[in-house]
Amino acid sequence: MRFVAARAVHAVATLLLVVTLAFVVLEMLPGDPAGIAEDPSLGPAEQARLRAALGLDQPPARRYATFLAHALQGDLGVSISRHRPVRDVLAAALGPTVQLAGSALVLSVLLGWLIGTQAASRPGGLAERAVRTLLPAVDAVPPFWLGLVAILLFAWRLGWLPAGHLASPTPPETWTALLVDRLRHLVLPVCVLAIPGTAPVARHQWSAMRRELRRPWVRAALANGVARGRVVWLRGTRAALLPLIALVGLGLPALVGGAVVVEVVFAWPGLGRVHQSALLARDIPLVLGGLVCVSGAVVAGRLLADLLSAWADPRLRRPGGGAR
Amino acid sequence: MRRAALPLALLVGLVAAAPALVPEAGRRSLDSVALRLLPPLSRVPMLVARDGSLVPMAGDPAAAPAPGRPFVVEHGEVVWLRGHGVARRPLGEFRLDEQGRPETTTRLFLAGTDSFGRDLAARLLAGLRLSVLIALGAVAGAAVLAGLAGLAGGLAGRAVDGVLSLAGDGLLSIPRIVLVMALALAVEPGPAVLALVLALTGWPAMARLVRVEVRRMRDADVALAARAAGASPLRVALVHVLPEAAATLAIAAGLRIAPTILLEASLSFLGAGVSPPAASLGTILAEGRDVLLDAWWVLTLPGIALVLFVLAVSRSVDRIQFASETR
Repeated sequence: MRFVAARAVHAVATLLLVVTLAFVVLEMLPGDPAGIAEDPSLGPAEQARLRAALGLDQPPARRYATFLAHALQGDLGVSISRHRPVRDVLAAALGPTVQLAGSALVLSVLLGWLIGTQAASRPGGLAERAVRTLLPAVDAVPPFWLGLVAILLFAWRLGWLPAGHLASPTPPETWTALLVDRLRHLVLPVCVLAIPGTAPVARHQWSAMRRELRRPWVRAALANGVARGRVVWLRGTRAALLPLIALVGLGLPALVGGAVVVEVVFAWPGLGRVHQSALLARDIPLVLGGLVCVSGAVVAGRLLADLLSAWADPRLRRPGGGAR
Repeated sequence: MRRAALPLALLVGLVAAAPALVPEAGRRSLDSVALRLLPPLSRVPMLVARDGSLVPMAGDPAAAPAPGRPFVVEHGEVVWLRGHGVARRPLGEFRLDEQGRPETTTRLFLAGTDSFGRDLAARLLAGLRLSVLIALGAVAGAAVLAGLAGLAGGLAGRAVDGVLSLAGDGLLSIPRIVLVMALALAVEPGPAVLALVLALTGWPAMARLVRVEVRRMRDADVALAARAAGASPLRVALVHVLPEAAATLAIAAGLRIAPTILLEASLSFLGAGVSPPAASLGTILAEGRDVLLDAWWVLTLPGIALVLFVLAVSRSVDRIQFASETR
């Protein structure tokens, strides 16, 4: 329980930090937030009245409290460039992002697990050589460049897959064709986003499995006649699985950060693209709302990962067992 | 250790000195009409003007003033190929050889040119330099902050430690790209500001390592003896604890260089970093995206160069780390 409580406190503190940062950015912006001061047609009395109506005459601490209260209620203001409440814009963009990042997460964990386990179970084999030589190269490739090269190659030169967007502009009639169309649009962005995430998982699984396979119980199981594949893939994996949950939780910020870039490259209508177009349009409420929303999603995901590892590993639930 | 550090120093030094090695540093174009989007390895014949400046003769071969020839002299004027047409100026404006014909020279565009007719290879070097300088500044700043935070967290008591680690953990859970994009609203993004923002958001992971090391050294015999001999807490911190933590910090900072170069490229690509007239890897790649279908090289070649450079940096830092561990 103490572990869970500590993680929850941590999550709340992070959200508070994010909202505070958003407020600081808002305060640091040049000019009056409402642009009142620049309007010469307003007299001093009217200006003062408007400032009072917008709460700008309050001391910063008071305004911070108001900002915080509104953010807690999900009221993040109205987008300047889209003329809609920030909450609605973000809610519409959340689905595609979760779809993209979720698929990439599943793919990268699966791939990393397969490659890492295979590399550990056959030293000197193809998978191990790939892990040794390819993984450092994967770390050096910026995802947005990889995405653009993939578009150039697979969408433009070869014409195999669509270059972006959620679906075709004219959706097919039958629902199977619709599903295939959606999936075809998912392939490139998900692969590009999953590749950088695969490396840490594969690296972790590789070293964890190597450690695990040197343990006496492996030799005992093999001597008892348990098939090698069964030992490696079933029992070994179960033993090496626990830290993987924590690893996925720690990798979430990087995953979401990568999703922002990949969404921009593939014109994917998710949070990242909304955030970037808001930045280019200098749509302040939408950028800050996006910051709060994305961070909130990441914090929720990390909390979930913490709870999952507490559920899977009873040692973490013991009093004083909060340390990783 | 010193031998392992040599490749890294060479790489960074070479890139920092790059503009001295290439003529126009990729900033200006000789002629944006004639040189627009030339493919890699293009050889462009150039006229030499009286003042020594070069006038490129390139463009659509169908528009050449005479078949297969980049220029002709007629009626006391030089007529040369420029883009989809020709340009003409009096013969007297050019440098002439003994026979009274305009002198020509050839220039090789190793990586081709971009849509403004700038030499992509030169621009790439200039961009790499700026990216590396930003990354070095950001990592150095983050390392200083991490050192301070780690020392404070390890020595100054529970309250300070709690606040610092909560703030650090919080910063680690926010995607850095999103955070810097929001901060880019408040401050005009330029190379120095970008380095500062990256430093301010990049310290927590390193601070954690320093804190562990500081805690270990705080209770070590050396520190205990110094304290027993009457040394002040500040002296113990600076003379006995800090040097031990500094080695850890240096390695951790070295490991951050390559990812920071990539982060800067991503941010500039998204429009939250260095803005277009200045060349950074991110802005070059963003321009490459705009001409993706017309000119593959503007995107592909700088990207490959970036990957190779980052790979080289991280390999040499790995070797430094290995050398320092097996010392």
